[in-house]
Amino acid sequence: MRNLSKLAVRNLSKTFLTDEDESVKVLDSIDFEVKEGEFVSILGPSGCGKTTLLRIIAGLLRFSEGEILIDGVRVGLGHNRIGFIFQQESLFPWRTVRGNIEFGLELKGMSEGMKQDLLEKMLDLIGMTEYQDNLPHEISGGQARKTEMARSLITTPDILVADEPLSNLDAQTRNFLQEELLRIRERTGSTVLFVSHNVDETVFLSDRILVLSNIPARIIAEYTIDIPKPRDRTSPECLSYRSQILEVLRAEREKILNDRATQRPQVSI
Amino acid sequence: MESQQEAARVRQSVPQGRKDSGRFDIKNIAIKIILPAIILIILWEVVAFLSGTSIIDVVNAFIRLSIEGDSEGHLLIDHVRMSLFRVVLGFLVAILTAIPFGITIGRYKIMNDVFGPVVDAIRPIPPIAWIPLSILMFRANLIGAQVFIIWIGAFFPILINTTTGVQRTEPVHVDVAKTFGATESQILSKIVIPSAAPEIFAGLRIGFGIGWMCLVAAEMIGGGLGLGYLVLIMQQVGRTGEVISAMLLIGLIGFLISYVFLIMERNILRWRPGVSV
Repeated sequence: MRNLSKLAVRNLSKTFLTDEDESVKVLDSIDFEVKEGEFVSILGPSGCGKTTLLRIIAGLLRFSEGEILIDGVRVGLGHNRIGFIFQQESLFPWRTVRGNIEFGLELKGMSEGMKQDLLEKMLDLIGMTEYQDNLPHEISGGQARKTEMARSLITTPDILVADEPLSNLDAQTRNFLQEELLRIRERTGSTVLFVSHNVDETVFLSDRILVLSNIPARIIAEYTIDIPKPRDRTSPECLSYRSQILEVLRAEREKILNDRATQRPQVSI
Repeated sequence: MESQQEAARVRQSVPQGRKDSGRFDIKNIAIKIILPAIILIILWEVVAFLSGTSIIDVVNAFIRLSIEGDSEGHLLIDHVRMSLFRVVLGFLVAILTAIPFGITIGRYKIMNDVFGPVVDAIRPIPPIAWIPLSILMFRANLIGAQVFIIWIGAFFPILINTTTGVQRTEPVHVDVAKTFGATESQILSKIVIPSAAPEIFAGLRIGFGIGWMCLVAAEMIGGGLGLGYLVLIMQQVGRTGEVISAMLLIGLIGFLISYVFLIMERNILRWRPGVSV
């Protein structure tokens, strides 16, 4: 049933040209699919091109080879079928919480009445109704992330793509937001592609985990996390997945160290 | 997060600040009011001594100008009106040219490459140095020449600030808009311009200040009306009191208008966490 997958990334490669006209291959034949309603995470060593992969999927960056299909339709630069949560805080500081969330609807030119209705529901879903008139600098980091989530989800994108959205938060806020993310997703039924460097987090959240190699990134391992949600982070099953994945990542890190010893040029993206 | 902590810190520090200013009230008054007043009085004494005039002269001159008019029979209010007309006209032309131009230069690299050097070459020429040329260019159409001088004075600060503001747009904000499929014109109107607004406003305030100064200089080439012209002809007929009262009025109007800009800035840019006016 290959054609029924929500997102299909086929043989995707990306080569950058450096300022010295050297070509650097960042992604090497990445091939995976995400099914409707699935939560897939991508893990990988830092600087392996995870963000590049996501930006390509979101239509923000060109790719060199391969194809990307959403609902079986090829997409390229500038498509708007994905909701993106960026690594750094990205709320517009000149708009209130409400103004930020309605941004996508505004671009679509939606009528005030319909906007109002969707907004109310979304604010209620993320529990920010009482903060709707606050400006981004008046809310907490966790609330800002939830607002970004709502801004991405309100236009009902085909896939929600998140690039390490919780990496800059303290541990407690992060755990809370992981639960919130699952709860919100339960309600919206969104398909999620989630990038992280936190193994614990991905095991807690995902239906499936893809592990990327060092640059040029390939998929070197895939895990289907067969534990019913909600999960207990400290259960033996979770811990077993964690240690397996950590082992794969450790092996990759050692390769980098060996490569340094043989002086292959390192590129950080 | 950080900014929230900052906001919390600001909130905490406000009442403390009040307490401090309460405790050092006398010191504060001395520093902020009494000392400046003394310095102003000394400066005035120097000016009064050198120009051979007194406060009474200036006040009388002000009243005379307001009621009877100058040596040519024009009332003070007519001069003010004329000056404001010229400066508003020149300033509007500067806004309409500098802001769009600044946005294009700031947003599109090729425009910056082409026009950056052009701007850098013309900008160091003081606006007042354009006066003789502008009279030639506008064929003795004085109003045109004067408006041109104000335009030159206000144009560059607005341009440079707009360009800087646009270049400081957070790339991630543009990316967010792109993921929603925003067109370039939507990116400009909904992301680039709002995020550059603080710098653009500062540019307007500075540009107006320079435009106002240039106006007074430009009016000294003639025109029959205007505060700069008033200063010049009053000096020529030896009425120093009138010269000084016109000068003070020029300063007062400039100050009031820039204050209005500040208030507008404060109201429109309330979203800025650190807006200190």
